[in-house]
Amino acid sequence: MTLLADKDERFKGLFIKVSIFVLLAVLGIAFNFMYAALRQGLFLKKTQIYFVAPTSQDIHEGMAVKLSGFKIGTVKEMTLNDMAQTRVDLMIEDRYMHFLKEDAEVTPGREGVIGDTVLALSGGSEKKQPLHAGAEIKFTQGGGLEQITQDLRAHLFPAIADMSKLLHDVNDPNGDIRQTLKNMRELTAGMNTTRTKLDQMLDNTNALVANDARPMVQSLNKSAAKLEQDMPVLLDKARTTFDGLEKSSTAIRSMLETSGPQVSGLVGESRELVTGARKTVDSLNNSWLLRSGIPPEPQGPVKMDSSD
Amino acid sequence: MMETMKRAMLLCLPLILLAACSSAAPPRPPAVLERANNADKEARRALRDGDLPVARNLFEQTLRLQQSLDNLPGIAAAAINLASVYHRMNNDEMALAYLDAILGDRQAPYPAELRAVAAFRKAVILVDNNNKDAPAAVEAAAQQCVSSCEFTAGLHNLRARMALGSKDYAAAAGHAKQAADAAGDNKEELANARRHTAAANAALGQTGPALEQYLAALELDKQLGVPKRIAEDLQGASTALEKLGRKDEAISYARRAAAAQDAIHPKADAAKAP
Repeated sequence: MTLLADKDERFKGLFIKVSIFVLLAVLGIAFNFMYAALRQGLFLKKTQIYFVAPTSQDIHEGMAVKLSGFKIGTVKEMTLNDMAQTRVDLMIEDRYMHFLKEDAEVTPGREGVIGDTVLALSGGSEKKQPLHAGAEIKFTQGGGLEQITQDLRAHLFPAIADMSKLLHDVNDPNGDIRQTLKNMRELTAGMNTTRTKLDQMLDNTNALVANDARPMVQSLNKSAAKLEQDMPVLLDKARTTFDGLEKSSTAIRSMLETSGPQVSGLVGESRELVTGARKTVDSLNNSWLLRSGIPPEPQGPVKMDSSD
Repeated sequence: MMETMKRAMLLCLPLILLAACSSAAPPRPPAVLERANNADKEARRALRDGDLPVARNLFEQTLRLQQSLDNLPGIAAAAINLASVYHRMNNDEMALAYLDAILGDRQAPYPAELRAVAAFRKAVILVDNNNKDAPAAVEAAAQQCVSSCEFTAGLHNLRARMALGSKDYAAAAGHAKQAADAAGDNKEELANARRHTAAANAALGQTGPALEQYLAALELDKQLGVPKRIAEDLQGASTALEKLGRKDEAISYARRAAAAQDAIHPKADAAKAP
């Protein structure tokens, strides 16, 4: 007995319809999975290579392996070897293997400043043989955050040590800095005293100006007034003197103009006289009568004996 | 007759004077040579007056001027004179450098007599310094001193001085005698020979002859007017007199020696005294 009579026409073939729907859904889901796997390279043929790193820090399984910024593989597995080092197995897509040579290197890196960590591969030199499956490549510690930190530490620690020493010197009562500050303090105190003395000196100067300089200036004013009063008389006297000098100068010039040729002639004649006198003396010196009376000029070495 | 002769001579006198004055004056030397001669004359005067720095500068000027004229005798004479000045200034290094410039340059035709003078001056300087090369220098000078050489007596005196220095007094007396024999009218070397003989005699204990020689040297040195040697002669005579027991005379000579020495190098106190 059926409790519910299937009399509605719409329910005819419902099972088939539902089955088709479910099948389509399953096929869609499978297609999505397949597409995703395809995109992930799940079906691509890969070659295994490995490298040994001192530590597994910054490396994890599934981590992308990139060459020139393109992902060419992933980290498959990480194991600890006999030397307590990390062996990292990589799976590299076969289509990119021809880029990798025997001297290829892998370096941990980061995509951008705060991006995911990746392993960056360098292909190696062209002259080397291509890398084969199961080969080991070289690991190089790159400029990761830790490396940057270590570099920073290497530079920072000496600076901190220097600052510590500087602070120690600053705090040392007998150190140069404290002594310099002490001297400066004493100098400043001395300058206060000096300033006080300068103030006193300026006060004294003011008093001096008020008591002595002012009467002196007044006296100078009086002298200037007297000089101004006497100046016309002095100028008249000077003018008279200059007039006299001018007259004398005119007279001398006139006299020179008159007697100038005679003076120059006199000089010329004197020169001739001296020349003639010299010739006369030379002639007398060489005359036979006087020659014998003049001792000859000594020539040659000065006479010296064995005790000179 | 006599009066006539006198008148004739008076008449002839103006003619004689006219003839004397009528001879032409010799041509003046070139200006540079005249300057060199004048510098040399002034240098000799400065050397005679004891102004050694001035003498040195003037002889250097003479040397430069003679070099500019390439006058080899003048160059050699100026260099020898400069060496003598430097020796008196106790700068024997410079003195020997000037003399070696003449003696060492065999290519330059310096006159032989000037080379002989340079060799003699070098020997004198080395003997003064008791240099080990002094005997060789004396013999080298003797080789350059040919027959009419004026340094024969001087070379004997140098040998006498070296013998006195090495305390070979007999040899010194012998060389001094040879020097006295060769001196002739060269009073300087004769006085030196007397002095060296006296020193040798005194060292040999012949005090009487030593005194005679000192007094003879003193007589000659007084004529020449050489204060330093006069003081040396007086001191030697004083020592000889003391050995002879004539103490009063010895004291007198010693005082005269001290006075002569002080006159050469006045003491500070004496200089201040009026």
